[in-house]
Order: sequence, then C-alpha cells, then structure tokens
Amino acid sequence: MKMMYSCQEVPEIASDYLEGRLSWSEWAMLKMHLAMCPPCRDYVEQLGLTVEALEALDEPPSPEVSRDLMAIYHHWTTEQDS
Amino acid sequence: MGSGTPPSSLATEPDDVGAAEAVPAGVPTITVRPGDQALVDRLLGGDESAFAELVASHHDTMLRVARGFVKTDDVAQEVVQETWLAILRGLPRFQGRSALKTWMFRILTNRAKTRGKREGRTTPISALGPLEDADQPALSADHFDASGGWNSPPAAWHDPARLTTDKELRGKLLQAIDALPERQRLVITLRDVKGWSSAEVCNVLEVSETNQRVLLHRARTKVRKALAPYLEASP
Repeated sequence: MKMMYSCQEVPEIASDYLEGRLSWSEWAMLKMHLAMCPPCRDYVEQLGLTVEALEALDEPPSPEVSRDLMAIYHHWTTEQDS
Repeated sequence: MGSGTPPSSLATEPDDVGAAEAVPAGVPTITVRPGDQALVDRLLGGDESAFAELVASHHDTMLRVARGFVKTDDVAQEVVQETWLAILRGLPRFQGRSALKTWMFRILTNRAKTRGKREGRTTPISALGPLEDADQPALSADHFDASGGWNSPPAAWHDPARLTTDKELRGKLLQAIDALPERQRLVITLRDVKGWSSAEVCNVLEVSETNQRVLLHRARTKVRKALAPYLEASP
C-alpha cells in the first residue's frame, strides 16, 4: 500500500487539496509529505495564494454599461405596464 | 454596449426561457437559493436596485461565457444584451426549478450557441475535443530527479500580499488568464474569480465534474507558473 506521495506527485493533487476534494487517505498522505518537505509546502502555499489573488480580481461593470442595461430594464418595465 | 435604448432586435419574444430550466443528463443538480424568489419578485415589481444587483453580479461573467461561443467581443456583447431582455421577459414564467443564476446562464448559452453556429463557430465549450494538455504533468519532468524529488524546487515568493495590491502584478494575473486555452480560462474565471461552485460550472458549461477538476487544476497551475517570476524577485 502506498504510504506517501513523491514531490513530483504533489503538484498534480495540489488543486484538489485546496478544493477539499482529496479522500481522507490522500489528504493524510499529503499532509505527512508537506510536514517534511518545505519545497512542496511552498508550492502548495503559492497555488493557494494564486487562488486568493484570482478571487480579488472580480469587479462590477462600468457605470456606462450599467446605465445601458438599466435602460433595458426601464424599457421592459414600461412594456409590462402598457 | 451601444446607446441607452435597447436595439430593435430585442423586440422578439425569447423562445428559450422555458428550456433554460431543464438540467442536462449527467451534470450535477443545484439546490435552489432561497433568495431567488424574493429577487424575482423585486424585479417583477420594478425594483431598479434588484436589477442593478443582478447586473453587478453577473454581467461580466455573462460576457466571458458568451465569448466562449462566439468569435468576437462585439458579438458577445450583443448576445449578452439580448439575453438580459430575454431574462426579463422570461421572469414571469420562472418557476424556480433551477437556481435563478443557472436559469439565466442557460438562456445565455442557448443564445450564444445559436449565434456561434450562425457565424460559423461550431465549437461550443462542451463539444470541443480532448481537454487541452490534460495528459501533461503540472510541472515538467525536468523539475524532478529520478526518484521524484525536486531538481529545481520552487523559489520562495517575496511579499505575496502584493498580488492583491500591486497594479502591475494584477495586470500580469489578467494576462496569465487571457493566455489560457479557452475552457481553462472559463473554468478558472467562474470558479476562482467569480466564486461559482463546481456544480454551477458543470451545469452551465455542460462539462463533467472530472473535466471541470482537470481544467481548473491545469489553469491554476499555469497561472501560478506565470506569476512566479514576478514574485520570486524582490520588489
């Protein structure tokens, strides 16, 4: 039975680890590896930081776009009333 | 977007709002959000702030998804504008059999697929061939020795908080997303930028759970790799 991951395997499962999608045994094997391997800890941490940076990218539409879409809404409410 | 009034092409009654509530076989189902009906009621009652909330939450995502089916940004904008009116016109018939967001994006993808086919782009996301580079490792073999240990371990990142505060790094992040193959770009945008669940992504893009995981994994790996050179050096 497999007891631990190699460093080469860690990047392949790092995203699933961040997603909480590993089985208990996979999770335990990875945690054991990370406890002993600073480079793999760095890798997994950097992937997590990448995901956090992506989450911070979201922005609402520009005022111009919002105005145009609001015109569609007004058009529709008028249509409803008539 | 064009002028402040809707284009005349929007006058046609949408024919895809009912079909938008159907969930395709093989994709996960979603629990209806309790707030959906309240939001629908506000929209039907003419509450502008409800529509503004909907636009703020979904317009940019709709553009990105539409762009996956049509050839240009301009066509994607037209499709999305048409979709907004189709959504509004379909609202009185929304029955809550799917989440409002899923229903909205089904209307969008139905329209975008039709438009994409009409303009000769016949490769909707779910119908594309094998996943891009799915059989490739996250990191190439030369990063590792024969026993699977690191040959060239990842260098530490200096001050990674800059990722969310530094304008240049933000630009690099956007470039890294833009450089991804289409399906990877869409999945990482919906999952990580927009915060969608994997079930929502599978439903709207009609991809399997396994493929969604592979696409997300590949995309995240590439974006981390693209950012690394800028974070390994001191600012």
